Amino acid sequence: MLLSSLRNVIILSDESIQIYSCSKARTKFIDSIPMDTIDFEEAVSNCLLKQGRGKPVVILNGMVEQHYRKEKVPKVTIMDQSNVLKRRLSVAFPNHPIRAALKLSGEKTDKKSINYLFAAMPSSDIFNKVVNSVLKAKISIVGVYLLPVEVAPLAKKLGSKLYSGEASNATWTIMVGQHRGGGLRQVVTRNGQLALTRMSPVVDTDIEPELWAGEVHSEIKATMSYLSRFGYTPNDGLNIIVIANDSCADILERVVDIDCNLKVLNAKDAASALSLRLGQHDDLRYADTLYASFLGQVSKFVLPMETPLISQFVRPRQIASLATIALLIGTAAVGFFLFKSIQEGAVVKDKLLIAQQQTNALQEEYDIELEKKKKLGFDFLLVNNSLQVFNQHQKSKAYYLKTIREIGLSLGTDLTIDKIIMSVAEVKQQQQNPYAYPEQELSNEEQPTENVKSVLMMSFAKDIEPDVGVSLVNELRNRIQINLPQHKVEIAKQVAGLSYTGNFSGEAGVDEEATAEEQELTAEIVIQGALSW
Amino acid sequence: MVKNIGFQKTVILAVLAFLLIGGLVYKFYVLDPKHKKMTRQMQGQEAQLSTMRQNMADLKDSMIRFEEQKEDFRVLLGKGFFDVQDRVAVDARVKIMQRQSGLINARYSIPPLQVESNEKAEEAGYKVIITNLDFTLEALDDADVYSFISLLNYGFPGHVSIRNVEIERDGELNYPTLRKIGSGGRVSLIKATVKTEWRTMVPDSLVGSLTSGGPF
Repeated sequence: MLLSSLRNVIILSDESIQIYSCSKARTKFIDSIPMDTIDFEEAVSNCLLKQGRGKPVVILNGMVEQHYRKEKVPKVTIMDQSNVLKRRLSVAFPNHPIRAALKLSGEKTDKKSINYLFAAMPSSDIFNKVVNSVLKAKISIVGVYLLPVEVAPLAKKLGSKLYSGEASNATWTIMVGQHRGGGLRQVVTRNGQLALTRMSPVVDTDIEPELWAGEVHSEIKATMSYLSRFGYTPNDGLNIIVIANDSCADILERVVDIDCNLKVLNAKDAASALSLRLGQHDDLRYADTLYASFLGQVSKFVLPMETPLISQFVRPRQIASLATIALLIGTAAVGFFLFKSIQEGAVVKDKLLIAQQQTNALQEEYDIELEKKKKLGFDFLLVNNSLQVFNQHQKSKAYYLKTIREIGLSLGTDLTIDKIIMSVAEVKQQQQNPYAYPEQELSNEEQPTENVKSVLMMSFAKDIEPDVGVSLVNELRNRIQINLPQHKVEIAKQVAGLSYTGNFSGEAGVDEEATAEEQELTAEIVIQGALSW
Repeated sequence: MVKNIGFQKTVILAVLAFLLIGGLVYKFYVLDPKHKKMTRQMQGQEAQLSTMRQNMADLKDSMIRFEEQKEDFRVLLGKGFFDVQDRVAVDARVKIMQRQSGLINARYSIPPLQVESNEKAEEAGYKVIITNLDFTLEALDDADVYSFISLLNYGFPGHVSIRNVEIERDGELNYPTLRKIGSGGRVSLIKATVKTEWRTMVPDSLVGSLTSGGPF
C-alpha cells in the first residue's frame, strides 16, 4: 500500500497520452503529450523522470480499440488452467498480442465450464512508443491495464457512497466521464462487473454546458438501447453517475429523462466521496484525474494485461528487484550475526585476558610463596609431591603377613597346608583428591581398594575317612572366617571330590587310579579380602 | 541482462552479493574458528586458574602443617625413597636380609629399571623409577620366609609392593631329615617365590644415566 501510493499513471487515448503523478496526498496532472510530438519518446521519458520523479508507471489503455468477449472455458485441473486459457485467448484474439482473461463471478454456468471475460488490445503505435519511452528511462512498469475494466470497481464503490436506500441496490450502473484527450467514456457495470463500455466523440467545451449536456444525454440514450440486449429491465434499477462541471449538473438533471438515479458531480467531489485527495486542479470536468487518483493508489488491479514486450524487460527487473530485497535481507542478517559474533568474541577475549592476568598474578604469588619455603631449607614442591607419590603407592601395598598369621592360628596344631598362593587379585582405583594433604594421607586409616586372593592347598592321609576330611575342611573354613571376619572364605575343593570350583589339573594314563585317589584327598580354600586390614 | 536491469541496479546487486558472500565467508571461515579457538583457550585458562587457586590455597594451608610435612619427608628420606636403585647395594642388602631372616637360600633377579609416568613427581622435577624384583627362597621353616617378607616391607629402601607370594612345602619332616638337621645340615623344607615392584624417585637429571645401561 505504501509503494502503491507512489506511482505515475499514463492514460492512453487515441491522439495523446496524459501523465499523472499520484501519491497519498494528491494526484497531480503532469502533462498531456500529443502523439505527433517530435521526439515523443524522449518527451515522455523526460516527463516521467523529471516531473514524475521516476516513480513506477501504471499504463491505462483508454483508447477506442479494445476487444472484449465473454467465453466459456471448460473446467480443467489447476495445472492445465493457465495453458488452456492462453490457448483459448490466442484463438479468440489471434491478431492482438496484449490480452488477458478475467474469471467472472456470480455468473450462471454449467458444472463443466467457467465464464471468462476475454480482453485484448492491439499493440498500437502509441502503446509501443509509450512502453519504449518508459523502458528507456529505466523506470519500472507496474502493469498495463484496460481503463474500463479497472474503472468498474470505482463505479461500484462510488455508487455505494453516493446512493442510499433502494438506489444502492441497483443492478446496473453507468459511469460517464470525459477524457482529457477527447471522447466520452461510458462504463456500464452489472453487479459491479464490467458489462459494457462505449467511447464516443463529444464536444469538448465548458462554456456551452447545454450543448455538452445534450450530447451526453443522447450518448446515454444510445447506451440504453444497448443495455436491453444485455438483459436490462427497468425493474433492475439503474444508477447513472456523470463526472462533469458543476454548471452542467442542473442542465443534465433536467435533460435526462431516463428512469434512473442520476448523480452529476465534478471529479473532486467524486474523489472526496471515495476519500481520495486530488489536490488543486484547473479543470474538474475531466474524469481522468479521478481515474488516475483511484488507480494510482489501488493495491490490486482487476485485469493485468499480459504484454510480451513488457514481460521481456520487466521480468528480469522484477527478478532483480526481488533479488535485491533478498540480498538486502540476507546482508542485514549476516551483518547482525557478524556483529553478534564479534561482540561475543570481544567478551571471550576479555575473559581470556582477565583469566591470563589472574593466572599470571597467582603464579607470581605462588612462586614467591615457594621461594619462601625453599628459604626454610625445603623444596616445598618436592616435599609435597613426593609424599603424594609415596602415599599413592602405599594405598596399593599388600600386607600378607597379617593374613598368614590368622591362617596359621586357624590351622591349629593338627592341620598343615601344602601350599599357599597369595596375589593381588583385583584393582579398583579409588578417586584421589589431588588437593588432599599428604600428612592426612599418611595417617589415613582408609581401607585400600585392591583385594588379595589367597589359595590354601592341603592334603590328607590316605587312610582318612572322607566324611572326617570334609568335616575338618569345613571346620577350618569356619575358623578362618571367624579369624578373618572381613574376608570372604570359600571352599573351592572339598575332600573326596564332593565339590570343586577352583583350578583343576589331571593326568590320564597308567597311574590314573592313584592320581584320582590323590586328587580325592586334597582340598582348597580360597580367601579374598582387602590388601591391608 | 545488464541492459535490461540497468547498470546502477547491477552494481547494487553485485555489491550486495559480495557483502553477503563476504560476510558469510568471514563468519564461517574466520570468526567462528577464531572464536572456537579463543573459547578453548579461555576454558583451558580458567581450568589452569582454578588449579592455581587450589594450589595456592594448598600452599597457604600447608604453611600451618609444614612442620608435620617436614617430619614425613624426613621419614621418606630415611626410607630411601630417593634411592637410585644401585644393583650392587641391592645384592649386599639381600644377603643381609637372607642372613637376618634365617633363609637357607635367597635367589633374586633384577631386570633393568624402568621409568614410570607420574605427574606429581614430574612437577617436582623428579621421575619415578620402577624395578620388578623377583625372589626365589628356600627355608627350613616357613617363619623364615615371613621374616624375609617383613624385611622387604619395612627394611628395603624406597617403596616395595609385593604383588605375589607362593609358599610350598618342599619336603617331609621325617626321621632322615631330622637326622640331617641334627648333624648340622641345611635342609630345605619350604620353597617360596616372591614377586615385587620396587619404586623410588630420582631427579630428572639422573634418569638418563640410570637407564642407559653399560657398554655390553
